[in-house]
Amino acid sequence: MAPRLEARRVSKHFPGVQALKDADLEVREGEVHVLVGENGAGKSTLVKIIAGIYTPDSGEIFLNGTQILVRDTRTANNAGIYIIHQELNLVPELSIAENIYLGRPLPRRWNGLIAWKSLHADARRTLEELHLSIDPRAPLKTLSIAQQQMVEIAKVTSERNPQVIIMDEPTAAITAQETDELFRQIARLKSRGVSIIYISHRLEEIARIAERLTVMRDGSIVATVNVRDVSRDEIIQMMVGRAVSSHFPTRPVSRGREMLRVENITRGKKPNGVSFSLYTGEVLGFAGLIGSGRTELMRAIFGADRKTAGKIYKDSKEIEIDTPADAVRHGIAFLTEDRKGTGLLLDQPVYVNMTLANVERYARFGTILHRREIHVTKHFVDSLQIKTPGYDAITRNLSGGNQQKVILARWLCREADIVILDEPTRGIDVGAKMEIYELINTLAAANKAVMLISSDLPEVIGMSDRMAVMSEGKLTGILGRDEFTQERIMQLAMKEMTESGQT
Amino acid sequence: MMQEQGSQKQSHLRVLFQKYASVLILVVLMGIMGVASPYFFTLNNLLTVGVQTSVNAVLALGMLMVIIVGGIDLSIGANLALSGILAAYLMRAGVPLWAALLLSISSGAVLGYINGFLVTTMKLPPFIATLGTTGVYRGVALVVTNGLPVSELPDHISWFGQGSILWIPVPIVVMAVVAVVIHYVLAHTVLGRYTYAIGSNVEATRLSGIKTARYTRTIYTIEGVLACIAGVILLGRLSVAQPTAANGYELNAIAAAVIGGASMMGGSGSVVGTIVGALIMAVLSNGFTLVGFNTFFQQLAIGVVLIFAVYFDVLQRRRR
Repeated sequence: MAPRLEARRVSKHFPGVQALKDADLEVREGEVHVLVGENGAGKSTLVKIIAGIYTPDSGEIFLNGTQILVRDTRTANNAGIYIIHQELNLVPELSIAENIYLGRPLPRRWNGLIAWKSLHADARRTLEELHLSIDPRAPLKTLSIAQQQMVEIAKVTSERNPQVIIMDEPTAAITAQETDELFRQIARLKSRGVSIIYISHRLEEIARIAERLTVMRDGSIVATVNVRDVSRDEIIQMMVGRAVSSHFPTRPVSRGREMLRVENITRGKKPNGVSFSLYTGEVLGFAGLIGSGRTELMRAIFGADRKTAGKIYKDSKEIEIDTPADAVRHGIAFLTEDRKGTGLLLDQPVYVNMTLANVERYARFGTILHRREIHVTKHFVDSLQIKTPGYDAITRNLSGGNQQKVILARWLCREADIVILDEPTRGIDVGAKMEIYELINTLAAANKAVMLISSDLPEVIGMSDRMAVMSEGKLTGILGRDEFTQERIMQLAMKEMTESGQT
Repeated sequence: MMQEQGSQKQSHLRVLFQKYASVLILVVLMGIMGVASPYFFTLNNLLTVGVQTSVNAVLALGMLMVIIVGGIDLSIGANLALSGILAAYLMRAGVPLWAALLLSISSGAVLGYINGFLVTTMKLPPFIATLGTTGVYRGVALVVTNGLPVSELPDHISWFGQGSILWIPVPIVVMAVVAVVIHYVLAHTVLGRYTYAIGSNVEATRLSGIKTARYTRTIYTIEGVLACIAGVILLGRLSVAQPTAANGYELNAIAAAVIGGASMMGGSGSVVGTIVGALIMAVLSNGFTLVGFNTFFQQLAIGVVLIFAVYFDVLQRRRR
């Protein structure tokens, strides 16, 4: 019997990255098939191609043995393929029934008006089939996230003939009890013969619901195995299996005195009671999965978000940080992960962006000494080799790597002691990456302290002297250089998930 | 604009074109008016145009700063009226002119600061916050005067509206001084730099350690002061303080700033452009009166100019 869904040699290229290379995937009728892999391994790209959100560069897709052409989400839906995103695609203000019918024509009466009665009756029947006792007339926003997820499922099951449902990290935002309910729902779908492709970072979930498992890494399929036949450790090894590349510039370790100590930094669940010390001359890496709370931790330390608890000491003296202005005054710099959203003034000239944090020092009685400002800009454009047509070129027109260097220069001219770098190499090309690595080393050599968040595991391993690993808002461990193995890091990164999943 | 300081070709060209569009409109309009009426280009009439520009220009320069910082202030007309009434009452009570004006300008600053407080500390959208304070300020002005004008002011107040220094009318001098000061602030000071920065990306500015809320409040306060200065000119011209004065002037101020190239998205706009914008509006109004057109055509023409000026701007952005 032909498999329910088959993807053959599917490839997809994005500018600067081969997201998917000759990926093969086979999903059987009525099975739950789990896709695992690190961030950026290509899981999302693969399922988005299957669901018609991306068009592949090459490759074929078969449904029940017949080749299908998935041009867009509509053709995918018509073939019976649906995707439930992590971010739900529902309208909070509309009723549950209307949400179930979203994207399809509503039933009409003879006079063209909406047949509310039959709409609600239909919706109620669909919900009952899923054993959900909620009023279809209630607005969606009155439901919990988990219930809204059920509405997404109801939306799919109310369609004529669902064949394949893709779920992208469905348990990321729901509680353990809600997860149990979701799994019961998945079991019901399975018994109706629906196949489910399930993306998850939570390895302990896999054994509970899945028959088979496909591991992806660097845009390729590593292996497809029966869940029964592999251990958790083997899965992790397959996920991270590549050798750590040694192309990171080296620097002598010169850890000095304690520069910063944070105690019990808390803001709700992320971060939750985080304490650690940071020393001069070191690069402290922060590893963890997306959503593990690393950015939230840095924002709380920097004062970008108000922390609900916690103390910060610099040079053994307690300091109050309630706003970013406080943090900057105490010599802390923060390069955010969203360069365009929270980093740059895109429509302002390069020099404005570069001197933004420091312009008061180039001013006398409130008047900016423009020549001094341009002098500083020139210095950094030269020393960082920023490619720009001029000091007053509009920053939007620079490449990603050069934009990132402009923000780095903003903090370099401020001469901050503590530099927080959140995903500093995301979305920039290899050459610029190397230059940023060199710059990080220069900072450490100058006895600054650097905190480096990166979801690129080889990068954070290659650059860090010590590594803090976070999971679900908590700091689950700090590793020394000799303990840097991808397996060990992955175990710590998933530690809290295992525990919360079993409670 | 900030780019004025620079010398880089690409952005410079864009700035030139941007100014070119509104300057071009102004030149063409003046040409038409000159042909239509021989009186238009007499010194007397040009000075009249300048005086007619002054109140709107001073208001528009304040509005410009608020627009650059990413906000809007609908309450300036009401602020002007209320502060004017305060000044009038003080003068009638025998307070010396300079003290009355100083207190009136302080009240303008306070009313502006209140707007800034609502926008930053209470995080209300600027449109809503200042729509609310418009009602409050105007309401207070109407209540305390019982809707009646406050007249019998000391004679020398009229110097601000009708007097002249050498042969230049005082309103034009006031406008010029305000324009030079605001240009200096925007182009050369830390406050001006932060104004553009906040309007471009408030979160990025805040995360660079800048107290964005405090600077935003400062801008709204300056706007309040400028509204009040415009109010003094108006008081001088009319010699009477009206609770209904300057009704709708906020929209003219917005129009002048926008015709002059300010973006309602924040982060861009220039003093030169705004003055040109205000001049265009005054030339239209003056010219139509000279030619003997129905004055209702003024509003129509200003609307058309506004749409075309902003359309030029949109075209350039699309080309980017």
